[in-house]
Parts: sequence; C-alpha cells; structure tokens
Amino acid sequence: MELLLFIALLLVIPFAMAAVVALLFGWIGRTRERQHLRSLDRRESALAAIATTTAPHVVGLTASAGHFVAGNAVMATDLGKGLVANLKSLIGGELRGLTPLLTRARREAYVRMLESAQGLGATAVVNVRYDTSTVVFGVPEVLCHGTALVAS
Amino acid sequence: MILVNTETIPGQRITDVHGLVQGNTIRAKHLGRDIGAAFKNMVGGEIVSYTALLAEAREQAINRMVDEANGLGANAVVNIRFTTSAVTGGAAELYAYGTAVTVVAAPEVG
Repeated sequence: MELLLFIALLLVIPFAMAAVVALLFGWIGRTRERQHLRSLDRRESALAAIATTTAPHVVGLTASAGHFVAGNAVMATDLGKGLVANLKSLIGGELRGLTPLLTRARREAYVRMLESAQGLGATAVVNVRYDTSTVVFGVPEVLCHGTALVAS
Repeated sequence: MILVNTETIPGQRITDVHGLVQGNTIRAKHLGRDIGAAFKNMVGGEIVSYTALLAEAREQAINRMVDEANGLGANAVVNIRFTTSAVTGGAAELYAYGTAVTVVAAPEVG
C-alpha cells in the first residue's frame, strides 16, 4: 500500500513542480506584459502627430526630403504561456496566448520607427511595411520600416 | 547617400537608374547572450541583446548595399526591401536590396 503511494507521489511531484514553476513565470510574464502595454500606449499617443500610411504618398503633403527609417523588436513569451501553447498544440486550434506576443512586437517596432522619424523632424511616414522572421528558440523578430517625409 | 523605401524621393528627380544593389551579413550570436535569451524566454518580454544584434546586422547590410551603390556612381537607393532568415547554429542572415539611382534636386511645386 505504501509502495503504491510512494510511486504515485514520485510520478506526481515532478509535474506539480513544473506546474508551480510555470505558474510563477507565467505571473511574472503577465506583469511584464501589462507594463509593456502601458508603455506602448503612452509612447503611441505621444507620437500620434506623425501621419503614417502604407501608401507611397500622403495626400496634401509636399515633402522636401525623405529618408528611410526602421524599428525592430525581438519578443519572447514566458514559460507559463509557452507551456500552455505547447499543450494546446497537441489538440490543435488557435493559440490565443501567443497572439499578444507578436502584437506587442509589432507595436514596439512601429513605435521605434516613429521615434527615428521624430528624430529626423518628420511629419509623416509613408510606405510602412512589416517584416517578420524567427530568430533563436522560435522567438520572432518584427521589423517595421518606412520612408519619413519632412514637410517643405 | 539618400535611402528610401518608396519608388521616388521627395524633392529629388531620378536622372539615371543603375540597377539592383544588395548587401547582406550573417551574424552569429554570442554564447553569453544566448543564456540571457533563454532566461527571457521564461519570463517573457523583449530580448534586448537580440534586438541590438539584428539592428547592427541590418546597419551593416545597408552599409554594404550603399558601398555597392557608390561603386556604381549612384547617389541614392530607392525601393529598399529586407529579408531575414535564420540559418543553422542560431545565426541570422540579413539581406537588404534596392535600386541604385542618380538624383538631382528638383524642388516640388507646392
């Protein structure tokens, strides 16, 4: 009887430990995500004066100069979300926990591009493009680039 | 050298097209950064060392593209595009390409 109990504990304890670690890191990850989202909201509203478009021109804007600007971000997800995503991928379906990962990376890359444009004194950024790729450990990198226009 | 990712440059007129120019670089990561990256993969958030690595690599690829354009006698590169690929060993290849042109100032009529 005790042997069975012992074996059961031996099997359960590693899973329980893994679950606790995942929960801990998941909590840390969620906190960092909230902070990052607040920072993004703040910076996006500070840069709202710069017009952006995926078209090559802004109607009604005559520019005297244009220069290439870019911003990039490499974003990793936390262990808790990663574990849930791995489990979910066993049965298939949308990995909703990972969606914020790329959204945050895109917003961060976009904000950095606007910050470079602001540094050049630009009033608009045209031809905005996004490129996504994978770097180590399946971690994505998002590049956002465009042409900053300085009004004449 | 003027760099844009549009077809035309505001305030400038294209007088000559020199063709495709390109620059690439393969950057391997540093072991120390990798350990940091593995940790970040657990707590989530931006892996700043990799962002910096890729930004530097992109700058280098662009510089190589600009050098090629200079060699052709161009003073601007238009329609710049990028691709990034992960290669074995966790390295990343950055490839920047565009069209080298010669431009002259042509102030736009308002």
